[in-house]
Amino acid sequence: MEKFQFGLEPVTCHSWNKDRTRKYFLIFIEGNWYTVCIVGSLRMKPGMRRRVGWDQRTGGSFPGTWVRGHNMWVEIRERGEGALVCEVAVSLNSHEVKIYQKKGKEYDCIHTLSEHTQRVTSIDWAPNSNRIVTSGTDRNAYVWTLNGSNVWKPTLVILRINRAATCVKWSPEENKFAVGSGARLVSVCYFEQENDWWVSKHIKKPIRSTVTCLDWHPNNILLATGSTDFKARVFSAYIKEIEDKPTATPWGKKMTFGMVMQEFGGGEGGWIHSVSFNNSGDQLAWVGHDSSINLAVAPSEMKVTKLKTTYLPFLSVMWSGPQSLLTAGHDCELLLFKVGNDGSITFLKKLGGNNKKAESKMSAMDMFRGMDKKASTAKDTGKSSVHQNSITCVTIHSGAKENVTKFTTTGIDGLMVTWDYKSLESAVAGMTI
Amino acid sequence: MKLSFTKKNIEALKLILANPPASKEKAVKVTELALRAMSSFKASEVEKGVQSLSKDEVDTLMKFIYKGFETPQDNTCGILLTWHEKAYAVGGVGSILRVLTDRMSI
Repeated sequence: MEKFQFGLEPVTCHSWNKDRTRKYFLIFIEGNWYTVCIVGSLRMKPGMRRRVGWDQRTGGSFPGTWVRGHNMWVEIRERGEGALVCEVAVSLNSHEVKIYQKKGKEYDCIHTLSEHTQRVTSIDWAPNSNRIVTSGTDRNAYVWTLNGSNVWKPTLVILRINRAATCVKWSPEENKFAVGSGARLVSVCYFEQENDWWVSKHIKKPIRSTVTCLDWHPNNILLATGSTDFKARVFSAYIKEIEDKPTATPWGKKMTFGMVMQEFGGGEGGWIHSVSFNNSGDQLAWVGHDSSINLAVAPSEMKVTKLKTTYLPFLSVMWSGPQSLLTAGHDCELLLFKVGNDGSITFLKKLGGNNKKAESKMSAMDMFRGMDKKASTAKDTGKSSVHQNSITCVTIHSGAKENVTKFTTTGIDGLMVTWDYKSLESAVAGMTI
Repeated sequence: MKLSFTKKNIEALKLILANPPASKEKAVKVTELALRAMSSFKASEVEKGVQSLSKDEVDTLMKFIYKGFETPQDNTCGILLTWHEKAYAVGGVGSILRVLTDRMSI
């Protein structure tokens, strides 16, 4: 577990750059040495020269550009395995997005992205195309790209909304993204080559309130949304201008743009705070403000399971394995749930808690100070959880939805914690996750 | 819904919890009934009573408790606080949250 305190301000949201541990190569292109990670398996040894084709694109990290290996000669100077440049984009409850780079145990702020005029609500960093998309309460979204001179340049996206943008997420193939907003709609944005411009299409019906969360199906077509009208929905976000016709999924066959594939939740349930598809995309989990955790299984006739818990509401839900769900929220703790084959949800364990210091003897001075300040004689040194306030955002640090190895949480206490999932897993003794 | 509240306290309460009121007019009457059922328990029996309820029933019970707080009468609040304590021990804060979030509130 690694902790980093950004400051006193709450962390609104955070997003990581591409995989943090990867094979790297130092290659020579057009007079410069670049550290790159090769997409796909490219067998190269130091001193070797070879032509890199279009399909063997190289995701550059220094100077940060997406080096397009378009039929050029590269020379390998060094290869190894290690941490690549590890960067995280965060917004600390302000109009700015800050990019922090990991240096040893500390994080240094290397870029400040300030184009939004009001608070940033959501950030998503596309790993492969190395682009960042941000949304804010100023009703705008920007796509940021790193140019050759190591500066992040914003491009305005025309969202056509009259309320705050609340959440944003790249599709798995990174050719489009969705923005949820208070205007009771989702803007699905894609790049229009002719106009050199990000344009958006709206999904309006039947959303009746602010869209609070989004998640993409792995097929790049379906989009799950959760909103403050207590409902989780699965939409088709198929854009015929840029994509091939999609194949049928358990969620439905017909997939014209904006079509409601499924709708879950009735009058009860509270605001939906987070939705998440599993790795295969056949199951959808969501959490609501009624402290419940819900699961819909598409192949078994949309069977919905609802587990009402005794905790404070969850703000985030994440799949940490094929059969395990991780939630975090106002309780400031991480809870692990097991999903059974029949779609049942059972609570397994609280993770990473119990770091309460041993009760030390209270001095007379402490006692009187406590009585004076807090009108209590109890020695209160904060919560037993790692986070001292609500956890608002959980993301995968290493691994994928089917096998998370590390994940990160940020919260209102301004703390970012990177957890080692495997060691947490082993702490759940005797339980298979 | 005329049940003897003297001996079959738990059955009476369960019956009320199983049929939450559909309309606002009915809600007043049913809440009264629920309050009567709750007050017919001895303080020492409350815990046992709550523990015999299912999760959903505890949630509904919590709604009646909060509804009861809305219109306090002579000694109802004292009884309701006892019930609240026991219901909270079973349902936790989640149960209170559901009182706040559920649109079909009593």
